[in-house]
Amino acid sequence: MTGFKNTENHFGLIAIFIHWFMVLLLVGLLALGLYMNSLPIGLRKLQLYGLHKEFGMLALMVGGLRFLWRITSVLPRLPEHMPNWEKLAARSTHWAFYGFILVMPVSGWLITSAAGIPAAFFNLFVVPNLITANKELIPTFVFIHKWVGYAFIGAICMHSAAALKHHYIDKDNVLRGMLP
Amino acid sequence: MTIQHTVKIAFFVLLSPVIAFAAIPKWKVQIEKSSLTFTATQNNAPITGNFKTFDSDIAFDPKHLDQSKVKITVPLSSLSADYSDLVDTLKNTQWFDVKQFPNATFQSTKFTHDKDKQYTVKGNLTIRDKTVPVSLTFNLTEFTDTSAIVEGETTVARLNFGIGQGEWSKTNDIKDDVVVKFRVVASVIK
Repeated sequence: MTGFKNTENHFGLIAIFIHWFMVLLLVGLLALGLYMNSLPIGLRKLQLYGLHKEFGMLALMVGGLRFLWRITSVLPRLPEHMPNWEKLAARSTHWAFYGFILVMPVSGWLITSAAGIPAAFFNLFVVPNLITANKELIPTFVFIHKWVGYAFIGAICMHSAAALKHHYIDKDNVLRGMLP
Repeated sequence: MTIQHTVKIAFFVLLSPVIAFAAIPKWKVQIEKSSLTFTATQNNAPITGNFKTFDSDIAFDPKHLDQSKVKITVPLSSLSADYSDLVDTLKNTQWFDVKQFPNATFQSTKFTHDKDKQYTVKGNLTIRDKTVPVSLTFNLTEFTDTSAIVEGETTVARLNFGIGQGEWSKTNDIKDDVVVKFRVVASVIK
């Protein structure tokens, strides 16, 4: 029976829940971002941008909670059979995810602020602008959001491929560690 | 009554409309110190733009509101916002259709004094091919014989003017109400 907290052998329910929730949220946001950007200007595009901004803010909030949970929790050990470089690669990718989960929403938030088109967070409150509107800065923030986004997609592919390799080739418990 | 006296009276009687008209000061707007902004609601959050310039024909005297008149003409090509796609969209045929309807105008019909520095002006607002009566409340923030600052706002329903046609006429994502704010700095024309 998996508990709420992590142990040295298994992730706890809280980490597991946030992990799979973020999988849905982040893959959804990346796919939505690519799709909506390809649409011509119209009502659909406006609606989807509104959704992307709200869910992006949600990702930043949940990501922040996940980070707090990470630094205050025990971390399950990686399997003994893994060479050091693999352990380093795995841990680096995990830390990189926290970077992506910070930089993606914040750069998106900066685009929205610079363009003067703020978002309402699920109709609860209007997200304040980080900077005053400034059209000169929009291309810089778009550049960051786009290329960090592509790098994020690359990192997700690597992380997923590694998880599948552990499960099907190494036949160890790494992937099972993220299941309840 | 001497003839001289009669001529004198006749002269002033004839001239009186001119004197009365001359008593209403005319004003010139200092456009660089003035602003005309609008705030709409998209996805439940505000979005703001402004018109960089407008022409005006203003005769205003708080003591002679019945003779005060204002006509404002806004060239819609002066629409400005921080996001260029937004500006292009608002100028296209589904929104302001700037090519076909280059100007918006406001023509006053009646001024009233509400209280202290606060006044209301009723008038007709024309945007695109629609004319709708509107009421603007404003404060005479500053007023001397030579200079004036007027600040006010009103809320207009964009669909009354056909601003946002086709799919844009739905009001779930872009609300019907748009808040228009103005600050006019003017000096008297001597």
